[in-house]
This record gives sequence, structure tokens and C-alpha cells, in this order.
Amino acid sequence: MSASEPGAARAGPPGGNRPKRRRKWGRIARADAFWGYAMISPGLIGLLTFYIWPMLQTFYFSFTEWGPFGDARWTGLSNYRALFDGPEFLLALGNTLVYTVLSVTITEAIALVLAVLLNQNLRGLSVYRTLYFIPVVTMPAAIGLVWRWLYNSDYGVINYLLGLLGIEGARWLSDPGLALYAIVVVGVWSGIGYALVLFLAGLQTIPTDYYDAAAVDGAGALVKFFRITLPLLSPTVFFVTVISLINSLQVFDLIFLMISSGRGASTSPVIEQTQSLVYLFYKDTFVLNEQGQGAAVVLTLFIIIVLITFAQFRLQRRWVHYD
Amino acid sequence: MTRATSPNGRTRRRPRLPAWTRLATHLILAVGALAMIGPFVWSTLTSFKTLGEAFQVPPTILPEQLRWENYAQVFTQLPFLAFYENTIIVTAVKVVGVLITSSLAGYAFARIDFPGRNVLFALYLAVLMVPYQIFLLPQFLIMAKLGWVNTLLALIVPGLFDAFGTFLLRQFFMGLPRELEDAAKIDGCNHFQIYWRIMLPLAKPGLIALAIFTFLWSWNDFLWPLVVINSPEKMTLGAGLAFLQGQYLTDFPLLMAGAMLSTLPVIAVFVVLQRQFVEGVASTGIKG
Amino acid sequence: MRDEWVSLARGLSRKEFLKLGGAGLVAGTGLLGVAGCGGNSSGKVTLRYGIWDQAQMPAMEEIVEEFSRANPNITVEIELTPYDEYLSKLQNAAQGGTLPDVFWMEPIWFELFASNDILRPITDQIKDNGIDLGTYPENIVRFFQYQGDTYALPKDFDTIGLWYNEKLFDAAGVPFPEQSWSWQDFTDAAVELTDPSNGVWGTAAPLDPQQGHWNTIYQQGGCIVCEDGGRLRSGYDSEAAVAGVEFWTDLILEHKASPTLAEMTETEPFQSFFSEKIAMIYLGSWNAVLLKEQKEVAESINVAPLPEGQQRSTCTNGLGNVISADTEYPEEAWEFARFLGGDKAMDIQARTGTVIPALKGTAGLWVEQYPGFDAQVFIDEREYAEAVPISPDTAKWQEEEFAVLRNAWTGKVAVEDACAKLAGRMNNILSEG
Repeated sequence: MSASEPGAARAGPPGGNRPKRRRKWGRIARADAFWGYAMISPGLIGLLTFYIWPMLQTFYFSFTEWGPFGDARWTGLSNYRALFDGPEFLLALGNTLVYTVLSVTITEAIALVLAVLLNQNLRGLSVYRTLYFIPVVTMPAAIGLVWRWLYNSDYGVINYLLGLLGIEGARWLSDPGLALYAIVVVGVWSGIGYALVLFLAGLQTIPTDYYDAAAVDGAGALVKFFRITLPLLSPTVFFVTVISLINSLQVFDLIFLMISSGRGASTSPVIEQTQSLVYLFYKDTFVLNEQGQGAAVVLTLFIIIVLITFAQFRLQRRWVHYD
Repeated sequence: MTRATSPNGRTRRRPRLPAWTRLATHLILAVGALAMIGPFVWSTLTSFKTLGEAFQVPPTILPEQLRWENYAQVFTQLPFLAFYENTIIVTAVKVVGVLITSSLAGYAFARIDFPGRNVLFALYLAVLMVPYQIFLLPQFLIMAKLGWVNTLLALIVPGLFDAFGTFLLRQFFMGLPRELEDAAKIDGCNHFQIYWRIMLPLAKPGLIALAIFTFLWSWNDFLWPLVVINSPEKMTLGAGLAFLQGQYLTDFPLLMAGAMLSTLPVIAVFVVLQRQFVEGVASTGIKG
Repeated sequence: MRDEWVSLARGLSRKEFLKLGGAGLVAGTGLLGVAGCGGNSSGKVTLRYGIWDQAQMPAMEEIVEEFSRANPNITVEIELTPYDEYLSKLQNAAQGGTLPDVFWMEPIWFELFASNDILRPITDQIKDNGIDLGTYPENIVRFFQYQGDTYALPKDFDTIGLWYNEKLFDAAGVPFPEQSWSWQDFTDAAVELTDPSNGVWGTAAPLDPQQGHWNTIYQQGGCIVCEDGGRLRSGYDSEAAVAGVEFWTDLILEHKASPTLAEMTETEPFQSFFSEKIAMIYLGSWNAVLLKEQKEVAESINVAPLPEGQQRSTCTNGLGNVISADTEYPEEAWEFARFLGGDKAMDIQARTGTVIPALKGTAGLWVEQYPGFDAQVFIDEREYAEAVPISPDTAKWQEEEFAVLRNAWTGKVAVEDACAKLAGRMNNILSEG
């Protein structure tokens, strides 16, 4: 991640000895500025119009209160203070954090084990890899609907199979104590493939020499795993963790599709134990028409995401080994 | 550099493990794979049942007969063909657009030193860390002002600009060797020529990865079409599924048929192109 | 700077340059074409009609066809939005100025739109065309009047009836529900009909205001949104309301004659009813169309008037077709709205059996669509039916209604406390409005 300095990088500029530092407004700097702006402008103009501007708008909205059809008045920090009025926001925050921690750790743990297993010159490697990756490419709308049907306590196949084993099935999506965890399962199910593919690729960059040397020294499989595999895989683990955390903190689709069904959301006894922060934002903005409140929720989430990501980058020195 | 082995792991010089280890491994992997595709199998089975069969307690596993009528009904009850058309058009244009805007910007951020570069790039990063739902209403209002509500333009245009794409390709370009560039500069090429003639061809893995991500994301999108499209004929597959959830009675077999129809094309494309998919995805992680 | 442009041009070979330019042109025109031109040449007008019910699509399409035949220069495009998204889409559209020209309106949302000048009044048009509002049910006409102006002609009306499965009644040896049933009769029958060994429930008690507790509150003489000398207040802090709500929660918690709220969230009660797992249930008249889809079960299903509490009552609702204040074609929109309120459109609605048309005298045709099913009950109930509660911003306190009553339904909170809490919250919202 170094800045490029065309002037300094040139090996032997034509025309003999020139001073190595380029002048601020020299010809090269001007060319760079021209091309730089020219090439980013298509993307940047669109980004500014459709993304940055709405973000700024949302930021502004969080300090306003809205009428039912769009007139906003400035109200300062009242939306933020209102977040702590009832238990709803803190519950949603808790749900989001629980979901995130569980789904990320479980997904990565399972994917890691699977990746190590798959990495052993196994026949059918690509078949397995394909099968595991299919949930990743599947439409979230389809995933939500299918799993909702699977989890149905009366007609769903999960409770049926459990029944065959003699276990009484639970009310997965309507029991307040279980619903969030049922959703974690779906999150893990649809995320394993992605982590698996990345871990596999990372594992394959580890030279076998290390393992051979360790074998010569008499190291067992577990030792090899913890002393060689994990440390050398840590850059990949870091990458997967950062991406997964950011995505999980924004969980919405699964909850929207599996718990809510428009009307169903308000009568569902589990909505408070499962709604995530983004879901809360959606409810405030699109159902209750309180854009200001919704903006405050989502901005708070944004700050949380930034802080967590920042912390991760700081902490990486402690455990990530780059060669 | 430790890129000694090819991605499919076949060039490793590991000894074959004892048979029982291999068996155990296969067992674990197979159980896992079953869990992965189980829901699809089940939903396909359900899509062939009648409504009554689907609502049996205990659930029936196999349908009595294959009711292909369910699939036909999906097409008559909803303009599903239109859904396909719209989804394909929108996705194709978006993929091309994203590749163009992101590669241009990605190269510029990676290799050109221009004033304000870091500040501008920070903007891209900020967009990445924000939930996409916050863009729904503001983008809708922009579309309304432009008169693009309920048109395919509204589905396409905002999606042409992707912060993630720029971020991804920037990483890629940064990983490419500078020598080629420097040689070209000595030859008198300007940045665009370098980009067009040299960097772009080299960045194929990254471009493919980005194309795949954009394709997936565009095909599966369901919230934005619901917000900005009013006529069912202009809907896409992702949002169209919402229409199959009847206001009162939800015909689950019909819904499963619709879900399968919407998602099977992607799975089929994936299975056929799975090497490119996987390599593309994997390459984003290694360069991290 | 000029050097850079020159080198850009030079950098691309002639072929590459032409290719890029050509591609740009094609893309540009392609996108324009894809956007679709909306202009009207040769005096043709296109109206957008917003609706939400998939089941009524065939009827609506037929109505549109009939209308276009009589008015060849007007085309109507139907825009279907699922009910759950309808209100929020309307509100977004109002903000963005993209409302349909004519669209369905629920009475509970009407005041919100009318008071914010989103709708176009049709008082003058009604007068000028000599339309007699007396040919429509009075309470539905009133639903769509605000500050002296009328905004819609009624489209349909509905009431709630007691649907029951004769087969299950026979199996349990319980006589069918009758006109004379009281609350006690109902509850006793529900307990007797409950057969856990067969997975059959006597009845279902969902948290569904219009099909559930609003009816029973009215039957105790209570009100949901009560008018008190020009001001609105919540009717939940009254004995009538508590009794009306307890009727339902008791069925679940005390008598065990209904599935729990959790169970009903997973599987909708009417689904279970049509799967013959529930013996009797309060359902609205608009569900009649399901009888046509579920032919085998339909043979055993019939309907009776709701049991009597302190008095007879049922909830009645009715949709109207409103016109957007921003419509570009106010005259054509009125023509269409007028057609929708006329007898041709009403007949089509009746014949397809989807909803009971609002125009007096047309309801009989709807009843005829369901031989073997006592559909007349719904029409007769109109005698004593009470309107759904309306207020300036109903959607807001309905959220509270669900959030608070949810806890009473699960038994977490006592009914009195829940009702009192809800009344407090509702009064806050009502006094704001």
C-alpha cells in the first residue's frame, strides 16, 4: 500500500541527471492529476450522486423529525436520545451482536476444519467445493422462504427428522429463546462456502516443506495445525473475519424473510428477540415512516462497524503473520 | 512469494493417508455436503406436491406424482418470463458498467498519484461500511425526480457504480509488478494507454471475480426492485417471489417452484463455471 | 492539459476509438429506449391504477377492459403491490410525486392522506353528474369524507362471520352455530370441539383486530377510537375493551381451545382452518374466494352470524377508489373512478365472487356465487355492523396495538394492564394527530 511516485521510481530518466524530487506542478504531476481525475470520474460521479449524497442526507435526517409525507424539522439529538427510551434499540443491538459473534465464529471454525480436511489430495475435491458453495450463490429470498418452511413446527422437515430420532421438535421460529439461534444456523449455512473457498486457497499457498520438516521432527497432526497451519493462514483468516463481521453486523435479509411477513412481523412473539439494527432501521423508515429515527439507528450502527473494523486492523499485529 | 501450487491442489507431494482416515474424512465431508444441499432437495420435492400434500402432519417426503402444473402455474400467475428478461438485461448491463467504472477508478487509485487521492478513496471505504438499506429511500427520491420510477433505468443506473468493485480492483492493481508499467512509461505511454493495453489484460482474475460478485448481487437483489418498480411486468426475479406469497393463503408448493425457478439458473451457471467462480473468489482473499 | 487529451486520442488506435464511441452511443440510446417514453401522442391517455390484492386481479382486469371499450382513448395500467408494502409504497410515492392516478384506499389510512392534501376531492363531480350517494352504504361513504368533501366512491364492503367446518362438528357431536349463539355457547362449543389426539382445535384466537377483538369489543358496547366532544381518545381503558380482549386470550390460555400465538404465527389460522385442523373461526367475507380454490374442503364449510355479546355487532370495512391530487389527467381519472363506482364494475366484482360490491342491490349477485354457503349472512350482518376505527394516523397506533397486546396474548401481561398501557400510548398518538 505505498504511494506511487513516478518521478522517483524511474530508472535513469532520459536526459541525464535531474533532481530526484519532482516539482509540485511539474509536467508529470499535471499529467497524473489529469489522468487520475479523468479515470475516477465516471465512477466517482455516480458514487457521489447515488451513494455519498444519500449518506450525507441520512446523516442530516438523523437530527430531524419527519411528518408522514416528508417534511422534516430539525430536532437536534432527540432521535439519538430516544434510542434509549425503550428497550427496543438495546435489544436489537444485543441481537445483532449475538448473531454476529456466533455466526462468524461458528462459520469460520467449521470452514477451517472442512478446508483442512479437503486439502489432503482428496478425490472429489472440486465436487465437495461446489456443493458447499451452492448456498452462497443462492438467492436470499429463496433461502429465507425455504428455511422458513423447513423450520415450521408442524409441517417442517426438521422437526419431522428429529421426531424420527425420538427428539421432540421445538418451535424454531416462534420461540423467543430459540428464534435468533435458528437464524444463526441459516447464516452459518449460507456463509460456510465462502469462508471455505478462501481458506482452501490460503492453505494451498503454504509450502509443504514446512510440514515435511515438522514431520521429520516428529510433530503430530495437531501440532502441525496449531504451529504451522494457523499462523500461516492468519492473513486469510483476518480477511475473512473482517468481511464477515461487517456483513453480519448488517444482517437483515434473513430476519425480514423468515420472521416478518409484513403483517406477521407485528404479531410475531419473537420479533423483539430477533430484530437486528438494520431491521429496526427498515421498520422505522418504511413501516412507521419515522425517517429521522431510522437514520439515527443506522448511523449508530455505522459508527459501531467503523470502530470494530478499525480495532481489528489495529489488533492484527498481535496475531496475523505476514511473510 | 509462496504461490507454488496450483489452486486445485493436485501438485502437492503429500503421501496418501491411511485408508481409514480417508474414509472418515469423506464421511464428515459428505454429511456436511448433504446439509448444504438438503434444503434444496427438500424444496424441489415440495415444489412437486399439491397444497394438501405439503400440509400433512407428519410431512410426506415424496410427492405422489410430479405436479409439473405447479411450475406452469408460476408462469401463468405471474409474468415470470418478464422477470427473467428484466433480470438478465439489468444484470448484464450492470456487470459491464461496474467493470468499466471500477477498473478505471481502481487503476487510478492504485497507480496514479493525484492530489486528494487518499481522501477520495476514504469516501469509497465509507460507503462499504454502511448498510445498503440506507440508500433505498434517497435513491428512490432521486429516481422520482428524474422520472425513472418504474423503469429499468432505475434498476440499472445506481448499480453501475460500486465502491466494492473499485476497492477490489485497486487491491489487484497494487499487486501487479511495476516493471511493466515503468517500461511503458519510458516508451511514452500515458496512463490510459497503460491501463488499457497492459494492466487490464493482467487483471483478468480480478475482473472475473468482480463480474461474478456483481452478477450474483444483481440477480439476487430483492429490496430495491420492490421499492422502485410498480408494475409486475418490470419486476425482477428476486422481488417477484414476494408476489407469490399470497395475501392470505400461501401456496407453498407454488412458492417453492417459484424459488427454484428463480435460483436454479444461477446455480446452473455456477456449476458450469465453478472453477472460474472459485478462483475468482479465492483470489480476492489472497491478495488481502 | 491539451497534451493529455491529444495523447488520449492518440493512445487509442482509430479502431479502438470508434469502437468506444460507437459503444457509448449504442448504450446511450439503448438506455433511453429502455426507459420507455411516456408521452401521449394523438390524445391517448394512460392512467395508472394501484391495487394490492392478487386474488382480485382477474376482476380488475375485466373492469379495465370494459372501461377501455367505452373509453377507447384511455388505457389503464394496473399496478399490483403486495398488501404489506402498499402503504409504505404509497407514502414514498407521495413524497416522490409518483402516485398512481387512481388507487385503492383503506379507511384506516384515509384521513392521513386526505388531511395532507394528497387526494383529489370529487364532491363537485358527484354533484355535477347527479350521482346519488344514497345508493351506497352510508358508513362507507362517510369513510371517505373529510371536512365536507367526498374523496371516493365506495368500492366494496365486508363484514366478519363465524365460519365453521360441518364435518368436524358432526365428528364431535356438536350442533352447528346458530343465530342465537351467545359468547358462552361459542366458548363451550370450542372446548368440546378441541381434540388434541387428532390435532384439532375448536377455534383460533389470532391477534387480528379486524377479524378478532375489534368485533368482540364492539359486542360489549365499547369503542376503539372514541369520539368525545370533538376529541378522539382510546377506548381500550374500558371494561368493554378488557372483556372483548379477554374473550380471545381466555380461549388460548384458560380454555386451551385455540393454538397459541406462537403456533399461529408459524401457520396462519385460516390455513389451518382450510386444512381442517380448526373447527370454527372468525373470518372476513373477503375470504370467500378461497372456497373456490379449496373445492374439496369447501363442501363442509358454512358460515353463521357472529355470536352475541352484550349486543350484536361485527366489524365492517370497505375500500374506496381515490384520485391522486397530483394526477396529470384529472378528468380521465374521474371518468375511471366513476366507472369503478358504477353498476357494470360492481357486477363484475360480484360475479367473480371476490368481494361484496358496495352498490346497493348488487350484493345479491355475489351471494349467488356461493351456493351451499350461507353467504347472505355477511349481507344481513350489515344491519348492526360497526365501522372499523379511523383516526388521523391509524397506522401509528396500530403498531402499538400489536406490540402491547402481543404480551397479553402470550400471558406475559394481564389483559387489564395491557389495555391500560395501550390506551395511554394511543391517547398520546391521538392527541398529536
